[in-house]
Amino acid sequence: MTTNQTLPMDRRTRFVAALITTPAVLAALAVLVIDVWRFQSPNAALLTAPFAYSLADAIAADNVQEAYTFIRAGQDPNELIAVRHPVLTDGRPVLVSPLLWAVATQKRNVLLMLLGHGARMDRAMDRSAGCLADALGDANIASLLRAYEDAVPREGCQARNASAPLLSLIEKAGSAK
Amino acid sequence: MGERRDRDRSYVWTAGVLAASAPLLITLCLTLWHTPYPVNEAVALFEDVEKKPPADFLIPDTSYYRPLFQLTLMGIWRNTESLEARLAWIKLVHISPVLLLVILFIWYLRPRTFLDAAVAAVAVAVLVASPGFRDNLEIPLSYTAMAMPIALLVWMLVNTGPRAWHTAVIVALTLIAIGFKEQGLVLVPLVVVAWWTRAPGASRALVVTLATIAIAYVAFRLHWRGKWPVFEQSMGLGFSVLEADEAAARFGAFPFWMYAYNSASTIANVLFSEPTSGLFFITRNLRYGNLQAWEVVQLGSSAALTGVIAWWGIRSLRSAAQGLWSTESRTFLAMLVALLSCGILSFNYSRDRLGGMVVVFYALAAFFALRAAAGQIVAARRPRFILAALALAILAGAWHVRAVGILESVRRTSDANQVGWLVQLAQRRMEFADRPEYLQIMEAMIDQGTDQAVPRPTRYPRWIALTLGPR
Repeated sequence: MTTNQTLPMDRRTRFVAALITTPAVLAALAVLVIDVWRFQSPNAALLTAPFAYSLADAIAADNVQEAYTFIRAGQDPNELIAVRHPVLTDGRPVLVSPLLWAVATQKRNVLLMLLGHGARMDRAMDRSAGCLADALGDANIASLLRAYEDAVPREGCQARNASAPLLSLIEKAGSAK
Repeated sequence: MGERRDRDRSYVWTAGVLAASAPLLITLCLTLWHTPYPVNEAVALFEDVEKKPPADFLIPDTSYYRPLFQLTLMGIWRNTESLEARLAWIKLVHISPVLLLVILFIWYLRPRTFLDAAVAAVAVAVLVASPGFRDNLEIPLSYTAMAMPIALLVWMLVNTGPRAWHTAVIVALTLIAIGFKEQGLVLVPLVVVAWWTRAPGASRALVVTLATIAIAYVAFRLHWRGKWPVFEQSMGLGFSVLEADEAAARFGAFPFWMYAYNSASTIANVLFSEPTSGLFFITRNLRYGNLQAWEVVQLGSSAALTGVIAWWGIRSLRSAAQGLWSTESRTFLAMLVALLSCGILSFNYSRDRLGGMVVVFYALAAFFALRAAAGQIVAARRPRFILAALALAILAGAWHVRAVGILESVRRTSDANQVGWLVQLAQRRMEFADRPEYLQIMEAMIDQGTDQAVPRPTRYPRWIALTLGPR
């Protein structure tokens, strides 16, 4: 009977083989567990991007994908949103367009997302967004905005209150209207 | 009877390795399947296949000559009705060779013992986790991904007994590989190595045919050489990156040192995972005290494995010096030749993906080398046995960690591709206003690019994330 059976594997060989196999099995199990979990709970914290409560929050957090989720879910990218900032608005709540909020918080990628997915420069304050970027010293965003015909050129910008630039722009745009 | 039992046992262990590799492989393929196409590469490619006549892809008036790849895309694009079906087929063309490569690799190794199977699982991790493999997963750029399983298939054929149809099949496979990208030329020296080391399936007629094809291809490409710039793309040099025009200004008069540097960079990347694109990224972080765990894992595991392969390779060549070529010594020589060939073919700029063809042979060599090392360890005295066995297990563990890291890397690419679709549309609409086909394709692809269900990186705790790869 023993002649037809496999010879017992040397214990050392088996030990080495088991040692090498252990990480392979652990890796396979880890991948399996995480992916089954991903399939069953796609919204688990481990598997999703940080959550934002509003489009304004997503913009301020520079979370392009989360900001887009609001647009995709039907929020108009031109609809005014309520924001408040200790410096930009001097702590006062104001209504601004998502585009202007992205410029004010200097979130270039979110701004590009908004421009690519329906944001327009219809309002006077949006057309002056380049001026806000100038006031904030963000030449990159300013030149990006001025690629659009409607944008106010640098020489057309009015002087702003440097301590609350966004608030100043909204007030000036309001008085101009 | 014994032979049959051996064969049966090989199926069991082969199935075991396949089962251990399946979660990674299936997840990898599913992740690729759900990954959005990149807006910056894919749209222009699809515009080309929609607009240009097929003959345009056959003329090598560019450094990037991939006629068969572009004709394959064109075939799919023009003969499939809906956009969804076109995109699905093109993804399938990319994913299928990836899947085939890993399955063929395991099939070729066909482990017969527990130790073989354990080592084969590590070799699969080496294959999947190597930079040359990872960098060829970028959809839809399946140029080298197509040639990699072909390289293994050709190697399997030349190492089996000669058949009447072998020559025709190997020639056809080589032409396909070269047609997808010039990296397929690596197959020619590989077949020469097989013939020189008396592999049973490599005939003189095959070598002469492939050499003729290679010479004709190179002559055809060189005929159009006048239109090539000295440097095509940016390249790393030490700790900094040079743009192509900057490199041309500095090295244009005598570019050969830079070419040698690029070639050496690709070779070193395969062996040590450093440099990347010629840039000594990990070394720089080490110098400035910014070294991260994944960098230690990558550099350490690659250097250690290369060391084991060098030890085994030199040992296997000793028997070959007496004219006794074995599968092992032939594989080692094939790895060296593939390494050199990939290095030469990447003279203009170094990228991880340009080492893709050699990765197959590096992983094969890893199997033989680790098996030989395990054999030595088993015979060692007790203290050395325990230490060496632990070292081997740590090395195996490091490569499996890297393999899991590849999944995260593919998910990061998917995430980045989606961000590309979100942020690049506005500027592209302006930039490509005079290219209606481009804009039409781009607009039609927005849905797949912005789908909320695209694969995203797992938000592991920081220490795990930093072990798996860059954040």
